[in-house]
Amino acid sequence: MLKKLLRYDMRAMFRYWWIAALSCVVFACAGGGCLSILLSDRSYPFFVTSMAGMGVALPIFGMSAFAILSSILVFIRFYRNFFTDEGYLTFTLPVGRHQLLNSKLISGTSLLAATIAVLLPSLLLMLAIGFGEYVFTPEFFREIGEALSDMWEAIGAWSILYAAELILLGLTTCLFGVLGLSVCITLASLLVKKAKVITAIAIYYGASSILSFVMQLLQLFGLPALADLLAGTSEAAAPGIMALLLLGGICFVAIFCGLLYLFQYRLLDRKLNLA
Amino acid sequence: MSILVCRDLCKSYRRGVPVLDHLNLEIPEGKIVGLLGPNGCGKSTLIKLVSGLLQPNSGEILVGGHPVGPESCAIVSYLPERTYFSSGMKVEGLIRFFADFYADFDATRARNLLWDLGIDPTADLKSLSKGTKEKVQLILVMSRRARLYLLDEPIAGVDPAAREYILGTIVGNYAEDASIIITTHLIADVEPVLDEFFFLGYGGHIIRSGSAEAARLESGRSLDEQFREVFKC
Repeated sequence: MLKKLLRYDMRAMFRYWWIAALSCVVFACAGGGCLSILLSDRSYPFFVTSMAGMGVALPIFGMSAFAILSSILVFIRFYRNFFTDEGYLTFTLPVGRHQLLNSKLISGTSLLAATIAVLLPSLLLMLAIGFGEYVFTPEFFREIGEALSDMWEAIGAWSILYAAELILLGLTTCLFGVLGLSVCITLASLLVKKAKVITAIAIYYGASSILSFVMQLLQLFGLPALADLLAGTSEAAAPGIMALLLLGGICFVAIFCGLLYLFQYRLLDRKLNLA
Repeated sequence: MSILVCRDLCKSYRRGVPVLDHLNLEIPEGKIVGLLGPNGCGKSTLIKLVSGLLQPNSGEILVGGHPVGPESCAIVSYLPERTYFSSGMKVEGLIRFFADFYADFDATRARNLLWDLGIDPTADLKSLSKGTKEKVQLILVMSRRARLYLLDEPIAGVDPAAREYILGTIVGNYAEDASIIITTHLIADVEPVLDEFFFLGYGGHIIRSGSAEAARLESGRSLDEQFREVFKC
């Protein structure tokens, strides 16, 4: 049943996402083109340079809008499917509550991960088009190759582990984001009868602010301690320590994901009231 | 054998205000049962508890011997009083959705019934009128070979001709060994199809119940008249 739920959730979430992703890439190309005009040695008419100047802001807005839209698509799917009249169909399907929740989480995480997978290359594409003439020269690629070769000599196979851990950290962070959205929507639906969306947004931003404050405190006290730790380790042990720290970060986020999941499941299972 | 058993069922939305107060109820197999009562007496609440939309505060609900969950949802076909479709779907998409999730769904029957009504399967749901959406919903629900049908106010807010069509669809399409529970205020319209009835008072207390035919013969009055007498304001 989970596969069937996933099919419908993925289809619903990604239906308009493709258009936004394509628009993001187009904006990035347009922004890169405007950047290359501004940086070019050739003299363009004033109108062209003015438009190019305004056009450089396009990818910033485009990418920001794309990222926000992706979160909105996840939000809408959760909200409509669970807490509006569609919930009468959703919660009477012959599937367990955990399957309903898992399907939303997997499809939401996939969508956010896909969004990042489009945003980063779009940014690189914009820079490549904008600065390409000056930066992406054969010498540049030679230097990149030499740097990568030096890095491989220094840390070797650890780099593959770092890449895998960074991807895993990214995925758990996306999952945390989706869980955070879903918990906010659920709490808002349980606490208020009207203005649920606004309440959910308020809870989300409130919780995000508190979390940011806590993370900043952790960084304030944690980073110096980390620096001391790294300074005290030998060069040979440093890659291993780095891998462990990344793993620690993954576990930290995963624990929070687990707690949020349990909380969300309990709310849906015990407190749901589609009256 | 009873398809639905409720034992000592309690449900309240606010502390100290029970909607259902230690309700005990059994619905036999193969009967069309009317759950009749005034507004706020707990009819829809009971239906939602049985369908899994609400959680009871205490008590037990068994559907076909299963507690409320995926197994009970697989044998219960629920028609709520509101339309529950995703507006982005087409009618055919909804048919495939039901066929995907419900093993007892008869897609051919559903398409035939829609064809009889002149409803285009390729039509967007958002392009249909409210009445047509309700008919689509009813057809999908009644196209399942469920063991228990829960119909919450199926004829509320529709014209008399539509009421006749809806009741005809209900009676003409349910599995004969299945049970149907209908909640309604329009007792006079539903009475001819009922085998049994429950008069539910406030707090979910059963005031009167039994065979509809026997109740009419005993009192010499219709169920509608008896309802008006019992729940006189």
